[in-house]
Amino acid sequence: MTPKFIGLFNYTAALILVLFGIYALITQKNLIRKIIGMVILQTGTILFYISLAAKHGAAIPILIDQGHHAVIDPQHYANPLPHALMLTAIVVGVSTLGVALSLIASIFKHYGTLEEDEILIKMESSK
Amino acid sequence: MTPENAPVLIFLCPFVVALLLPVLRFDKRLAYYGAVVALAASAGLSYWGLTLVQNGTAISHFMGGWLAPYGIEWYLDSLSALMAFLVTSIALIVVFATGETVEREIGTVRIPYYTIALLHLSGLLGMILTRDFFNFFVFLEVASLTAYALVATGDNVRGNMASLRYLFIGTLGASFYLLGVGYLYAGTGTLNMTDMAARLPGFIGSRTAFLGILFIFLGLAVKMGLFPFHGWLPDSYAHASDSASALLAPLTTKVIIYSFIRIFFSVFQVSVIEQFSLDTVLLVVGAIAVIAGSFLAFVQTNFKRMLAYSTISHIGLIMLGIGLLEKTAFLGAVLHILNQAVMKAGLFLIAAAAAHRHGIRDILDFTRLRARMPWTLAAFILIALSMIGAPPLFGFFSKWYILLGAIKTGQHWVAVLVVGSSLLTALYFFRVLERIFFTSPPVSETVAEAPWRLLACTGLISIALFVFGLLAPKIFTWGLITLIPKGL
Amino acid sequence: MHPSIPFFLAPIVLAIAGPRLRRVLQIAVPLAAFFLLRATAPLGAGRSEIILSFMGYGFIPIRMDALALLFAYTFIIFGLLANIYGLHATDRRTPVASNIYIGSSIGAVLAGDLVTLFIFWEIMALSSALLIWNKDRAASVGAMFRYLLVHLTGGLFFFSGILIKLIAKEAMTFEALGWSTASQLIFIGFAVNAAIPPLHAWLSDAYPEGTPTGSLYLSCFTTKVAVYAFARGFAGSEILIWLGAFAAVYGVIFALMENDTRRLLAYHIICQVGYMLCGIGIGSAIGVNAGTGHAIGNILFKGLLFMATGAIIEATGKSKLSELGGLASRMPLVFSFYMVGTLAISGAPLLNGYITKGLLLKSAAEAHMGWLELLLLLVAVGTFLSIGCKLAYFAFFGKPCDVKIKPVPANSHVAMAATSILCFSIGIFPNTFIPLLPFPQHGGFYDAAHVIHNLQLLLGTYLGFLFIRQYLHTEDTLTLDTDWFYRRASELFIKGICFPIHFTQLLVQQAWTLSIALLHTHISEKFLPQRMTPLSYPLLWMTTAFAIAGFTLLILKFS
Repeated sequence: MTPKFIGLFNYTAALILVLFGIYALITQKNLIRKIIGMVILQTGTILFYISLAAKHGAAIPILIDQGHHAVIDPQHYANPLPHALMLTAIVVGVSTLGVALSLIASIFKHYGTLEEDEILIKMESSK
Repeated sequence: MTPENAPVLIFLCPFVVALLLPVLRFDKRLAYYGAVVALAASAGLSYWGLTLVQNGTAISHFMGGWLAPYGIEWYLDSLSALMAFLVTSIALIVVFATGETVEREIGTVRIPYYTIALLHLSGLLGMILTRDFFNFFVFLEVASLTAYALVATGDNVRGNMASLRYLFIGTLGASFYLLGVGYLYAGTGTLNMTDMAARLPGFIGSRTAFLGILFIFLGLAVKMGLFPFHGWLPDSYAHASDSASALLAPLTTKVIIYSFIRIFFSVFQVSVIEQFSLDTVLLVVGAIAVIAGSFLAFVQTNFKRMLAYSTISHIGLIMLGIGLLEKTAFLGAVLHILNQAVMKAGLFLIAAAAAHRHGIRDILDFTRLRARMPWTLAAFILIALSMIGAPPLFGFFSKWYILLGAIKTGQHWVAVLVVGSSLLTALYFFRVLERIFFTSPPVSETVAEAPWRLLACTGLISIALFVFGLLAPKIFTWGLITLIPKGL
Repeated sequence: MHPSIPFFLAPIVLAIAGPRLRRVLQIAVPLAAFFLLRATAPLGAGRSEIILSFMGYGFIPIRMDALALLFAYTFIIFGLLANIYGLHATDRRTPVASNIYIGSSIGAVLAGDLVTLFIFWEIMALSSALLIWNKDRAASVGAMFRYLLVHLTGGLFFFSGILIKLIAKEAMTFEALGWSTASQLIFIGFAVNAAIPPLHAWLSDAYPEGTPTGSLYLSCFTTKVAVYAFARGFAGSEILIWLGAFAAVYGVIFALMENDTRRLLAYHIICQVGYMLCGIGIGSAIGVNAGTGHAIGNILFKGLLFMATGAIIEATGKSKLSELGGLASRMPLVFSFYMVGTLAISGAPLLNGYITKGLLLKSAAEAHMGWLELLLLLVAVGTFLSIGCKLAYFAFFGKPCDVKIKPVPANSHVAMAATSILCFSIGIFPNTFIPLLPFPQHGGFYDAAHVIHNLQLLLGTYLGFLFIRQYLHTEDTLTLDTDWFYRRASELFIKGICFPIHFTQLLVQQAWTLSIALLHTHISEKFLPQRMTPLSYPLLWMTTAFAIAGFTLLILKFS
């Protein structure tokens, strides 16, 4: 029982991060905090994948030149595929963050505030 | 130009031109012509691709020479070729038509606008052509990010807020999709769709597989605008600039529906869908979407917002057709995807025309259009009749096939709902028609029609609906041979 | 060559033609159609059919036998007369819509299979709806949309019946339809078009609204195509007799109470359709002959009545009886044509109504339905009272109204004259008309007993009217002085059945308009998203929906 829970700890943490991110998106009124929530959400997903790649006693999946006749046992290296995928996912996350921040900059320039309820009120009154 | 390269070539045309455009900045009009030429080339190539695969063969392209399942595979079969052709042709028509509106609304930042638009289309094409789950995620995000940027174009400040909203909800959806793919990868160890289809039956009974499928469903549903996951759609379509909404509305959601079909019918086979009762879920969700979407469309005063809710309602209808798990209904749903892309392109072009020439965005102001834009209105009537499903326009046939499928499977309530959706669509379109034709305009007006490109393209779309309607039986028989996935 | 083709091609030219070309086309198109029809099948020939295959289904666009041809010829002839009547009109919409309407009516009666019939049925509904819109009457827009809604819903019932038959792979030719679920649905579809109460509200609502020239087309085609459809599909169904009788009584009662001239005539159409349905319901050869003959007769004399009242409306600008009066001396020609129409509809000898009513009463007698005969006679009394006495008196006699009268165009007079001549010729020479009826028919009409009987009826009614005319209000209200209904049974019938139906219709209509208005003003503003809502709303929506659905599925599938 206990080993299984510890083994699944990463995944639970990942899901908690995802849920926390959603919670932040829903409840926080400040737009920057919503963005932080979104980033946490993405981080949770990334943690999930990375946890898939881990193995007991595994080394980093980078091959140092060992000569031609050395046998490479995949069991000793962590799974590189999720790492590669998550690099891409992090890049996607950063781009999304960039787009979000530029949108917020433009909104701030026009409305002077970053609280969502105030912005909505100003939007309605200006029509 | 070998057949094996066909998938990549279709994608490369808009992609390369998108990257070139910021460099060629000496003449802003070059951006427009460059985009049109790129899309024309891509449309031509996708038509060529369609001819290559039409008798049921499929073309696979392995990126970088790495074979599946280790490399990324791009796949062209009749369904993806059809979708690629649809996306590129509609994009060509819309970009060609909105030349003047882009000039007016976007003005000085035209080059970035066309760059982002072409990148968006490349993303859509990538989504259609890829056969790898993660590659799909990458192109999904490319398309989505550029879509967020497109929504924020124009001089409308609300576009920024709508775009931010779309961003939050869209990222949520994409993250769920990624999570779902993670679950499936954890169970099967592969990301290639063909390979996963082979490995999935071994592990399908576990909760991991179920959650993976469910999360993928949720992610795609959010991106597709399926009720109740549609929260981003009305605001984005209503507040985006007219040119951008004409580009986004017909295409994005339809490509995601296609991907949904691809993932759920070619990878998770029909047996999985039935095992997890996803067909019931689709039917229920589709039914609610049809009714709620139509009802909400009826109460709107902003024309583009009404069209957005109409899209939501018809996406529900497509899901109904898919959820019946029957050949005729499935083909009806695919035809309805084609239909919706064409009709919504026409309708948003009309919205752009009305706003461009006369600044009219609200349905209550449509009375002024009657004398001023008679030809546009004629096209509008044709497209509205097709949306309602009047024969012999194309809209009738897609609904008819879904209806037939519903009756064949004994789900009579779906048949009633399809007919009901026609009536509800008629209700909100008649409301617009009533405003246009049956309330007298304040002053007698002179004719000030839309710019010729807009008018020509709107007319082309309305005539195309008529022509496709007459060709519909032929398309249906072709589809029965080539488009039905295994297991139906 | 389908005789509807000229009617469908003409609107393309009419939409852009000048007034002179329009007038030429309006006369030429029915003539062209007449000769086309004559070339394809002369009147009185046997059956002939043409089959077209499309999408694996055999359409039968032309099926000619005596019943279909009779209606088709009459439609063409009346189309010509109505076109002549309206030659002076200047709007473009009426000729375009009316031509499509006439063309689709002809297509409907010539259709040999149910799907072709349905297609033409729907085209009829759409084109006739256009004729209702009258820019001088603001209420016409609402009436038009209600008309469309009712007809499209009726079309849906029709369509569901067709679907069920298609799926059960039954024969789709349009013959006697039996009494299954599918044919019951089709019956309801036909009943909507025939304006059988309680499905009749669209008729009294919409027909008074159109322009005088436009409404003329409306009065004659939709209901008569429905009668044809009943004659073809449901001849001999007993339920038609009951429905017909009910419709006849209902229509004439409301006609008696009505103040607006055209609404009076509209209610009376319901009554006359009831007559026709009685005959068809009886189902014998003479019954169907009677129903069909009366339909043809109605096209002529009802059309004449609409022409005359239309002329009054165009000349005076007023349509309510309370605002008219004393027109006999100022519009003598219109008055005389009106009287011809009245006498025809009441069954006076020498006119076609006498022939067809005689057939109807004979068929009721032969079917041993004495009560039906009596009822039809009573309704005839009511008919003459409402149209012959009430409308004629309060419009043409009585207190003169002081409105300026615009001259009636010559073409209207010509059209009315031609229709009157047709009515007379069928009445005086019945043997030119009788052989055209679907079943062979013998027997004389002008024996002394019948003639005297009819004249007695008319005279008696007129004398009665003279005594009770002060009770027939011409105010703008809907009242009924129950004193002169001396039988309590009829009073109960009216108060118990007719009034509730009528007022329910009004209520439903008002409720519909009110709910739409409420929806727009109150609910949509407060509850439904017209503006951007905070992000939490859709996210909460989404997560709750997914949580509930996801966990339900999880528990269901894995427990």
